Amino acid sequence: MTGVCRDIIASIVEGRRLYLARQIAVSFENETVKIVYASFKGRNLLIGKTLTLTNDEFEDFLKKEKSRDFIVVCDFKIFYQDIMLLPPVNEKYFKNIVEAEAKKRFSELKDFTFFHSILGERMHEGRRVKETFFFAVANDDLNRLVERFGRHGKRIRHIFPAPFALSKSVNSSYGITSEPLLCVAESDAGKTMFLMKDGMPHFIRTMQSPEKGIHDVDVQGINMTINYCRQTLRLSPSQVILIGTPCTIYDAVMEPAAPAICMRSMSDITTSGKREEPLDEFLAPISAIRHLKELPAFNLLPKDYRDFYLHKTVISYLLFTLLIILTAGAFYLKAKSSEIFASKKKAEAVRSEIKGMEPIITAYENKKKEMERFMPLINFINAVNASPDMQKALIAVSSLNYPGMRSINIRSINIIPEGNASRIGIKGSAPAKDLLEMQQAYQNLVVSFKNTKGIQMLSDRIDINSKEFQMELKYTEQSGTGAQR
Amino acid sequence: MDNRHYNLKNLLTGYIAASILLIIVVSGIIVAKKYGDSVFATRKSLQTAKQNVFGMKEAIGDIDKTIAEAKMIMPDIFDKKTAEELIYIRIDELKSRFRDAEVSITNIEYKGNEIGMPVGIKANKMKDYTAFVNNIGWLQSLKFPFFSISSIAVFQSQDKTAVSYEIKGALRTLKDSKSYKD
Repeated sequence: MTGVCRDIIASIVEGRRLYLARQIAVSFENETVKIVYASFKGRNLLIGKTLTLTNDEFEDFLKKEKSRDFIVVCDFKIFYQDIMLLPPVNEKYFKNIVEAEAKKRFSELKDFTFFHSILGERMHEGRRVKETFFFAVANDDLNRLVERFGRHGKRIRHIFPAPFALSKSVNSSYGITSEPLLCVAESDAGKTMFLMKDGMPHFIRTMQSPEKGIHDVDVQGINMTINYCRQTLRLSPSQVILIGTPCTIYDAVMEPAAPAICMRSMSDITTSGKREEPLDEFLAPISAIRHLKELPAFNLLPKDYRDFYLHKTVISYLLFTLLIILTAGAFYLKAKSSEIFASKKKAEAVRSEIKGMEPIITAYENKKKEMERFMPLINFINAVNASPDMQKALIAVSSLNYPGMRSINIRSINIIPEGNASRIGIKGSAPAKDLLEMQQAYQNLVVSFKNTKGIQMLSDRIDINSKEFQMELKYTEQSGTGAQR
Repeated sequence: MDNRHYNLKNLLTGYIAASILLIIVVSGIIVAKKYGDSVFATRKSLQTAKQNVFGMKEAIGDIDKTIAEAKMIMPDIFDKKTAEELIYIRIDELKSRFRDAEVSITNIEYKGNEIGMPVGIKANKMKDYTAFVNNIGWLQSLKFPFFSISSIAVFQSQDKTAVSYEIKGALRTLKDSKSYKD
């Protein structure tokens, strides 16, 4: 299967899940697991149940939960990040170059899943390079997560690092700005700080913290991180953005090196029912659900699993389609069989009816044989009777005796049978004192024949010098006028 | 991984099984279609045959009627005379009917089961046109042997005082007409 097909199928499947189903996001934070149920209602995200469980309780949760698909957000203890300067090559090969560079930089990294984002292009030592942020996690860690779900027949759709999920919420609160921002979020593992510029995390740092909220020790850590950013990354954060608990619990005397502000609350989130814990505790999983459409680029689900899920989905759909066709085919076959059976039954009934008529057939066969014996006689009678009625033809031409025909002198009448008609040839003369009289007499004769029922004039001509004429007529016996033979 | 492979293997097995079933069902549909067409065609043929049997029933009556009519046409004298004898008897009848005419005959011609004798009837003076027309009608009404007219010619003499006529034809009958009387 080509990559394009794979992407199309994956996006279709993903799209369906994104907008139709209820989402469950699980956030792994050191020893606690935070779970959020949420679903989209129009453009708003409706937060349902939220749970905070221990690792052991989470196993029970997986056993009991009926949903099969989960989004995972994780504060990885061990991860690999760097900003690489790489030659600008075709996008198709760029990922391979990033992977090769990562292996070169982190020799301990053998089997891993990573994503990268191009931060920009710039000139470096006279060459154009792509500044690329790289983030990787060892597959052993990821596989442990996936298999933990898999043991209970559950499936992880996405694994997002918590800072990347949160970064999308920061973007939606503050917009994408080119000013570097240092974001500080809280989890059970401690404080997570990430430097953002142009809407993208550039650097991530986790810091152990004994207490919830911001205290002097945390401000120290923040200031150290700001210094590191200035010195190493050459980026000076203009603001420190406190996300969630660090904002609500701020108990520090020390001043941070950049002005600290709280992240604005997300206006498109609604909640259902009462909850014991504030939503601030669940910002990472909520962000993951809220920005699921924008986050797939940061998905750390190992390729093996993605391929497996994709194959499984494709085969499941094919199987489903096949079963539908199969069912339809089976129903059609059943209907057709009934139809054939009914038709066969009717055919058998007709066959037995015909068998019962055997005497008629035998009688017919005998009569047919007898008829065959008489056929020469019948054919002979028919042939003889087929000749036209000459007597009728003679009666038809008897109109020549009409008084108006006195000036016509008939020399001969010749009648011969022609098919079922009689062909009549008449020769004669119109001995008149002048041509006009001759013409009138001849015309009377022609009209007389034309008016005679059954006579058709085939040809006629008169010689004005000799006044001799001849005509060809056809007499056809009219129905109902036939003479009895 | 094993679990995944097992899962995929199960799905694939299901898919293959469904495919095989589908092939069987499709083959079944093709066979059923062909068999159905053949059954429908047989049924149609049988129904036509049934209609034909009813037709046969009617045809038996028609055949009886036709044969009876054909037998009726044949005169009883068939039992006693040969076809040739009947022709000669007819010639004598012709001669007595056309007293004013000359009846000329030639030898009997045999053509398959049919025998015929060419006859010419020629008269130099036609006394009455109506009688002539009636005689033509009589010739046409003859049966076994029949008189087939091949031409009728009516002429006026040069001096316009007389009308002559000539009838050409043949007496025709069947050679073994007697057998049809059985």
